[in-house]
Amino acid sequence: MSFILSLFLLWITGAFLVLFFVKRQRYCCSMSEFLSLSFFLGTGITVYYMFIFGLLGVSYCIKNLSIIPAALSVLILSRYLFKTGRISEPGTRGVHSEPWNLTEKLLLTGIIFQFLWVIFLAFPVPVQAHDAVANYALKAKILFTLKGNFTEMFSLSEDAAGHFVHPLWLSVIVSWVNTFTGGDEFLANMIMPTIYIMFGILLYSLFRKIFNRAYSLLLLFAFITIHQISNYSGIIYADLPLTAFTTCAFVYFILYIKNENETQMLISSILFGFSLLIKNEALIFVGGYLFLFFIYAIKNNGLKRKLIFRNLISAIAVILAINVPWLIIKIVHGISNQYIGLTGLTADKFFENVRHIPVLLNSFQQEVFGPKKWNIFWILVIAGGIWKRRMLWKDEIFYITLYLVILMAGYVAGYMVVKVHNLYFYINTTLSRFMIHFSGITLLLLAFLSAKDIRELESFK
Amino acid sequence: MKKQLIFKIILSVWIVLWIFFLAREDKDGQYRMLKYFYTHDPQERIQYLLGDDLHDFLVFCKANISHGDEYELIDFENSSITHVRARYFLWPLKNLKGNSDYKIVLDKKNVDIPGYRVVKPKSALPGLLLIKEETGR
Repeated sequence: MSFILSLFLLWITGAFLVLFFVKRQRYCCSMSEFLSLSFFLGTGITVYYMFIFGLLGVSYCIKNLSIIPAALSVLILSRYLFKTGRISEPGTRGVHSEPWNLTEKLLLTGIIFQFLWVIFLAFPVPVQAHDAVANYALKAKILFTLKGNFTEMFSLSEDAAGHFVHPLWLSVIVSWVNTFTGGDEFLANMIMPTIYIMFGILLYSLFRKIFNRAYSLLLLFAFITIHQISNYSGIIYADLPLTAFTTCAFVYFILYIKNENETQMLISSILFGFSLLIKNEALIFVGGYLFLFFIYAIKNNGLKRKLIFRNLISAIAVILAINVPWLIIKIVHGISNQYIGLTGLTADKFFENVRHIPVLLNSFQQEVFGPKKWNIFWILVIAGGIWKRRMLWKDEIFYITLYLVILMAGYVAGYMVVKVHNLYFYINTTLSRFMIHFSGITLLLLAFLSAKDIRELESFK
Repeated sequence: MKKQLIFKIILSVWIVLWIFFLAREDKDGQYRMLKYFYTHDPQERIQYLLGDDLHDFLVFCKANISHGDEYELIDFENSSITHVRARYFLWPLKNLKGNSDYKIVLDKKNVDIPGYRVVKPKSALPGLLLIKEETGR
């Protein structure tokens, strides 16, 4: 019950912002988008004010943490309680009245089974995976016992608390759950299946804005049944949350390009802003996003170009504003990345890293062609890319292809500026996880490339 | 017709691989572990995960180290799963390299570090706890 309450308070915090978009900016969203987007925005806003609490020395206790969600709940209730007609507003668009065909029913059954399976696997398991106990869940435990005292946490040695270079989004969210559940680590673990399910629902909602219902269900089914994705939905690692935020943010950006809806641009920027609080790798995603935004602007002319540039500046402002508390924490506590970066990287080390490129490529091909983790996902992507190569640089697909090129280049460059002693070990332990990060965006590319052919099939018309 | 056939083949391969890797037990004995977890209480599950001996040894150490004090893990392979799980389990005791009041030594029957006295667990557990002499415990 306490776990459900902690989730509900996260959700209501985000729901306030989504309802604001719906009311003030006339944003149309389906009920599934409303439910899932509220959850993700809620986690981001919660982490944001928990950072501020940490900076101001406000302790993490149920009373303090409940103030903001409680205030927002009152505001929502006062807006909607006596005007029940308005509560359905988020669901007024996207409701499909046609009966479900057999394919859709089977796909939905598979999706529900997969969601339940992930819950079944995670439910009785204590926090156990390496990076969870070494970093994310450990810091959550520390934040919980220190009641959010950042000064005391950052005064600990890294031997006690793990590396401080990792952003704290996941640890703060787990400490939020811990605060409500009294530190029950089994319930804390359940935040990951929740993220997985919410990610699936939001992804489906966004696909529905582009594709028909059957095809959206097929895409969701394919994505959530990739073992590498579901394997990371039961352990406290930041890879799945990063994928959720960056993938959904990017789909919102593509929707903005398609529909020129500024609210979708704003949601995209907010999600990208929050992604920087999850993992440092988000820098590549955000940098790529701003670059694409710039390309989108210069591909247009006149007043529209001016408008897009104005939106680009808004996007930068939103991302910066979201990251101010975390940047202050980093400055105040002197957190820097001693493992990756150009500072202190010697030419010898760089060329030694370059010599590891064959290792990197070998590991990459093992991931691509080994069905154990990725099923035939990457094989389909490569086949689709070759088969539909003429479409790769057309319309909105141009932005997806370019973005993936930027991401891959960014990750390879990241490996080249690693300062750890054994890059071979680092590649082997990270590559399969890092491939999760851009799998959602790759799925979007595949979805666009195959859409016309799939729609020709009887069940997907 | 041709596209329908290709699609059916791809979907069939996908579903077969999905179910095969879902049902197959992983190298860590995932389903054996799950069966245990579903039939035991939380404390026993944590004990299972750490291993009985290590769990009991860490419980012994936790009981003999003052709340919030610092310790050093010795002969735990750095960053190994045992090392990080032990550190997680022992919090709010703080792991520290170097001059700590307590040293937790794994897999040793005897060890001599000047300035520290050895506290042996009563039963045969896989380690020793060393306490700095001036702490007076």
